[in-house]
Amino acid sequence: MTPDWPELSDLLLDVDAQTLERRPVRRAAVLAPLERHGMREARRIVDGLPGQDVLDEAAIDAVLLRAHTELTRLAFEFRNGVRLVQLLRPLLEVLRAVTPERPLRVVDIGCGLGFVVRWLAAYGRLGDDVELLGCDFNPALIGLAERLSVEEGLRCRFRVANAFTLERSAHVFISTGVLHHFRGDALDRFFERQAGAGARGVLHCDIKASWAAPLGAWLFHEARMREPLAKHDGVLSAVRAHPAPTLLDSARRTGRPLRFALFDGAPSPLPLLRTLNTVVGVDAAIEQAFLSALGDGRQRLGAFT
Amino acid sequence: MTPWLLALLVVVDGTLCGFRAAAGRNPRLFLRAYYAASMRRAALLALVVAAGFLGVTMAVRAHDAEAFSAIVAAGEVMVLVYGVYATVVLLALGLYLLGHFDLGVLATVLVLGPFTLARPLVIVAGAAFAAWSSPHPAAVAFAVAGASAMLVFERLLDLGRPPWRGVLTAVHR
Repeated sequence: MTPDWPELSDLLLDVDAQTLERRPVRRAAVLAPLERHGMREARRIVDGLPGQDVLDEAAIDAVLLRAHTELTRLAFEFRNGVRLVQLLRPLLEVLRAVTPERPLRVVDIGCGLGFVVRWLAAYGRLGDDVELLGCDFNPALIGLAERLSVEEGLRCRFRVANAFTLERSAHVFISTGVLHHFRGDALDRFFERQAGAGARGVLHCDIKASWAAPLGAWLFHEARMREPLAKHDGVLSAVRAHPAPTLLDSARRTGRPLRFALFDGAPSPLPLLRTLNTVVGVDAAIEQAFLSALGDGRQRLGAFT
Repeated sequence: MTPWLLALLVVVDGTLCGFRAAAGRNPRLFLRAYYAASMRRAALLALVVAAGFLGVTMAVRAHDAEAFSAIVAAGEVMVLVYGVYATVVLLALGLYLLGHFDLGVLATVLVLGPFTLARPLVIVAGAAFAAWSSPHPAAVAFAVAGASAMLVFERLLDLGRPPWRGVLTAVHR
């Protein structure tokens, strides 16, 4: 596996970012990059999907729903909600002091089944003045996330939407496991569009690139996942994880006016404890206040530039 | 004592299988009752398996003292191997459940994940070591049958009406 291999979940969903219209996925279009990179396991998975010329949409949704349900389990185990709330609570505390608008809007980009948003609604204790919204391009995932939040009585919402073009902008953008899906220019464009959307703080958590990440991802996906696509993309995600300099360079070059730092980004010879890192971006006006609000967590945060 | 200890290990392992079998099959957030139902179901099945092996062992004791001694000797080896494995897993689980973030991650990364993957190997290794230590045909049959039962145990939990059956279909109406 190499970082330029595409993830199957990216190939199996084709949505127009402007109109949000879902386009049919042609088998040949999915197979071409797999052939090019010699991705035999991925090819086997696609061969198992029904549909002749065009892959069956319902079958794709079913696979992605199962894969994301398994991911939810992993997110529970690795306490992704707790991980994020360590940074989100101080950020909201600072924003409360400097922003008169209410509610404070937190938008999760590429939320999938909305585990983090639902967890924050259930356990985050973020305050009644915080609105939680999950956005994703996949209608099946968003539909299920919405139904789950209603069924469990959670104060959060989900929308099939481009998080950067919402009618009312977010105060804070968050994401988990999303950044590595954007490579090269696409990563620059991600930070550029985010900057254009006007948030005052961003927290993007993703797999921390290290020699151990692919090994760990393989181990945990073998041990915990059943869905072949989840296993395949899970390990590939770790291979594709951006090194700290790539993330920070892209964010700082294209994500102005926010200033960026990496939380848990310090390299370690034995990277077992910090398996994920978070790109933190804040408005320069709240940088000092955020650092103060972070307390001891400040030691795990690099310098803002 | 040894047969009872082995039976206890079977029930502990079976109960944990119940958790694993249910995990990743329900996207909801509040899952305590769901996991409890799956673990209860698995514990009951493990009790049945353990009772079956205890019954056979006791029957052997009544008819063939030499075979019984060989089975107990093999069982002692299995208790040692599986006991160490179970102790490490339960300690890690305890550490995880303490709620401390870093300790939880360490318990997961160092033990809970790798040990899940290693479980089939540990089962086979324990049985092979037991058969090698006590090469009586009855002891070998006991070790092979016990290991086989635990290797297929998680698959057995898919039978019938497990708590995860239809969950995704139900929420994705």
